Amino acid sequence: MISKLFQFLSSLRLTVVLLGLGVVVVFFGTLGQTSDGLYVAQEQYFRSWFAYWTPHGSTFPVVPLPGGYLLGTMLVINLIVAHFTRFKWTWSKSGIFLTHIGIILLLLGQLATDMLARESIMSFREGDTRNYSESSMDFELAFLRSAGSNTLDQVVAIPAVRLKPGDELHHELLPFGIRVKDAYENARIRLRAPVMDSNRPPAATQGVGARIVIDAQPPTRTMDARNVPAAVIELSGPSNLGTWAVSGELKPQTVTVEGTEWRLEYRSVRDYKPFALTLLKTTHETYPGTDIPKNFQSRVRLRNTESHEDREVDIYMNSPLRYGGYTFFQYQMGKEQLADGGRGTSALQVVRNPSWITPYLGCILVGVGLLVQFLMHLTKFIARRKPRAA
Amino acid sequence: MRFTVVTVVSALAWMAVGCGKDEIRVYQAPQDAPPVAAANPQGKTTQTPLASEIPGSAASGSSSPARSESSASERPAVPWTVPAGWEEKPASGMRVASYGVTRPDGRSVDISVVAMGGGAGGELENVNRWRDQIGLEPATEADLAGLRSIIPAGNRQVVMYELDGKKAVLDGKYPARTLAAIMPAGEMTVFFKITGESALVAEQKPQFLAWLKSVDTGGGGESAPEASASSSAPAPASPAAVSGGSERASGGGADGLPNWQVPSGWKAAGPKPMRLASFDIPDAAGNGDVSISKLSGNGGGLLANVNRWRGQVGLAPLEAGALAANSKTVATAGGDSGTWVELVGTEKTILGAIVARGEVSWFFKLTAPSAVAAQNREAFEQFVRSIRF
Repeated sequence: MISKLFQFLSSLRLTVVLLGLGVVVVFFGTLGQTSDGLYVAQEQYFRSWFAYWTPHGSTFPVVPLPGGYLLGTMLVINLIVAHFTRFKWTWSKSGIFLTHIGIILLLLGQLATDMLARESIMSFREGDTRNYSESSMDFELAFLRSAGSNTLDQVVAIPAVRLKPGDELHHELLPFGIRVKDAYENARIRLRAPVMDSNRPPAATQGVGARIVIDAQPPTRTMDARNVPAAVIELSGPSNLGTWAVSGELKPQTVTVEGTEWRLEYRSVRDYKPFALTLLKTTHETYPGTDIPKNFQSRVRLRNTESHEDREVDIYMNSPLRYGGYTFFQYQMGKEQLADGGRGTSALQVVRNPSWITPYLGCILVGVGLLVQFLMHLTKFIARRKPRAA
Repeated sequence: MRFTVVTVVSALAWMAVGCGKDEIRVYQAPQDAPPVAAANPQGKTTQTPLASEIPGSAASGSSSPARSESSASERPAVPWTVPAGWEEKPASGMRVASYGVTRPDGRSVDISVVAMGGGAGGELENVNRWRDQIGLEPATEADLAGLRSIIPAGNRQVVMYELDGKKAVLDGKYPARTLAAIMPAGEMTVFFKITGESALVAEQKPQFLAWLKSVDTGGGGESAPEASASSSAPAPASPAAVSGGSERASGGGADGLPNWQVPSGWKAAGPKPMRLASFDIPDAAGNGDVSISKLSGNGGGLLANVNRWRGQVGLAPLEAGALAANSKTVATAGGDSGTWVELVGTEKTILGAIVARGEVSWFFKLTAPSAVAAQNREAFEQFVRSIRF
């Protein structure tokens, strides 16, 4: 029984089927991207074990598909099992061996990238200093209080996905429980205009929530827009602290519990760095007579108090800053943003990918393996031809 | 052995999925630097605290996330009729609604509804900001009266400014014109504004006026904003605001009036200049009159108003230091406190309460023959104490 299983797992037929299915998944993933957008399609078709394709406008899943994780895992298993069951090490097959190792490295490297790589955005105005970057997709409900010093905050951050209507959340560091009354994936906040909104109660009883309403919006799937979530939460501690409206559009609000001041803020998930960047100058050049960008350039000051580094760096297209395991790419610099109060603004894309080296290594191994195998065949061929010629 | 390898790889792959993304994170982080001053869509630093709490696209700079734009059909219904030819635009920042009209030759107008807290910086400041936008010199307080007109909006009368720019500020080719109506609503002020190329604004003026007329202002009517009290054309008040029985519906305030309990026997009175509401107290010995009005700022000063009232009942004015001894503090149900005065003249008595709230002062005043005032003193005080803004 087990030998049959190994036979199946090591078969070349399985490899071909898996690669064929890979083509199919890429095809339907591309179709899905047109209606659902890149990020949703990525999650649905490639970062999943099983997927199904639904025609646009239908709610009925039509084509069941294996997800990217399933295909990748099966390919790795197929390769490894085949290697151990059928492959016998000889020098003459060292090229194939290297190629296989390279492919396994590529597959595992992709998995590691998927697990470990993080992309975020650092956006600031000229003169601003940032020691954190923000997720472009994910939000968190952060509760902050002073950590006993004037410069540090104690932060308890609840991911947006945990905020589901009706749920109650508790944390040992929070002196209150959180009951989620409403949660919106995408919503717009505006002042409650008494004439227009006389039939609508304010979003919440406390803080700015008492003066606003929340308009739910359809979730966006496009690349150039972003969902801004909102929620209405009820805080109950030693006493009922009322309901609060939180949104990615609102600034921090303050609630005092047993003499301690807590700030609550619904914000992009932050990734703090052990160093800080200050935006000194933005340069935004276009080709004469057009709006076509010629050069976006940010001059930043990099300061690391631990290593006592303090230097200025230019970040521009194709010339990112690589520092501390992060890569900072020039990302956005809108013209209208430049006009904002006379101070230029810049957004840097911050990428952290500890496994960035694996695709390079994998490709080198595959290349070297194929070359070795080819050269071995070539030398054998030439050696065979020589006696015949003689 | 081989099977173990396979199992380990599979297990690792499984663990890779959904790892740690849903966990509550606890960490210490450096405190944020204080935020930079927010700017409102008009480009000036805002005065209202609420504006700084609600970052619009302009307020939060580049960190402001892009929003999805919903189609018109997904928007909540608006309490007005949108004139034909007006194209809906996505509302942003502090705008409640946004419309536009564009002509093929590039001329365009922008129509906006903006709601702001309190007096939104004051009438003069707003008018001067609009003047500045179309290249006009600032006006003075004295000029305002000549610039404003009173127009109907829903079942109310509101102040409108028509500002006609002469300079070619649009693309260096066209002069601009602005029509702006100001509607106080509870603690907020709503601005209806059309601005753009001068001739096109003039062409759209009938639509703009019809649009304002179509605004559903709710059941209650209200006079023009209190600032018009200083103008020569006081607006009539509607009795509808106070005719709805002895207690105003809670959660109201949509018409700008607080909630209160009307004592039995009081009758809602007809429109009177400069008043937000009036009541008659019928009495054989002479009717009593209760007025409710609102003035911006301190309405000229507490002492000045008390002395004006004293003059009306034939009392000599008080010195500045004497007011405290001749008044007391009264607390309302809504938690506000005001100054309570009882000015008993030989024939007439005035009972008054002045409540300062932020940028406005409210005046509650009972004028009656002294005997009638005395009989109604308790009722009037209860009325004042029942007020909730």
